[in-house]
Amino acid sequence: MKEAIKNELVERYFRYLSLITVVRDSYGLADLSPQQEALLEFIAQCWHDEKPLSIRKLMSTSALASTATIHRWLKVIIAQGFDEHALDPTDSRRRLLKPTKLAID
Amino acid sequence: MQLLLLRSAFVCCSALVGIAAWWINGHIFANYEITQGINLIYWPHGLRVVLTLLFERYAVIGLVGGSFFVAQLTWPGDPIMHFGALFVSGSSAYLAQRYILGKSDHAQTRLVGLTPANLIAPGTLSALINAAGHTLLRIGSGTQGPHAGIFASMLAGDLLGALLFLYALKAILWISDRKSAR
Repeated sequence: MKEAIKNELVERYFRYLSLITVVRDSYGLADLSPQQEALLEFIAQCWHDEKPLSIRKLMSTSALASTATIHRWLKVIIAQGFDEHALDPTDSRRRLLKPTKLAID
Repeated sequence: MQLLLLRSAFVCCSALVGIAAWWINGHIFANYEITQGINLIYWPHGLRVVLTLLFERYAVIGLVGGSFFVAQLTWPGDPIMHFGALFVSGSSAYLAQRYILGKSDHAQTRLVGLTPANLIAPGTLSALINAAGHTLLRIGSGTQGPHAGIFASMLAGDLLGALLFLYALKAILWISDRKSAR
């Protein structure tokens, strides 16, 4: 019986977490969460240092969160117009992450 | 037995929160009431959507119970509105959620279909079901009045209320994130 109660509470907790994550990541307030800001700063720093990141490279080098979470944050950053894809001048198959003018301003 | 108690707690929590929200909203937005029970800004609808996303069918039972109490004050002499409205207002968010998130248990449990892009979708569909249901009940009970206008104002009130509630929640999360990041 205790197992059933635990499962019920765990299910509610995960539903709560899912809901909070969706609300937090939704668009509308033109701003980013502190974690998303840190990710944007990391991308901008790499771009500024002339070591632009591809999405794959970002996933492998960033220690901010799991790859799935970083991918989710990146989608929010791009959707809010702070980041865009640029073609790699040395390899046209690769796309690099580039901060937009909005992000730099 | 303990599981039943826990689920009963979810039901009671939903009922009490629903009644409290209705009461608070009535005081805050008293000047925005179009007609009895219809408000131009009805944020308790947003709360009902969130409660349903968290507690599913237990929220429905609680909200129907809470609406029973509210209906006694809102429509005391009208049995169709009295009993029909509580089922419409209590279950509209659940019906919307079932439609948008899909029927699979996995999707329901993990809120798989709910994304940042479609966060307002359950609130919108729920507002539509709620407004349409109430309007049909009004017509069925023989209540006179501009039904199209009442439907439109109820839809607007529920939609505005859901938006207001969700963005207030988002603002609270944003402020708490800022504070914890410092």
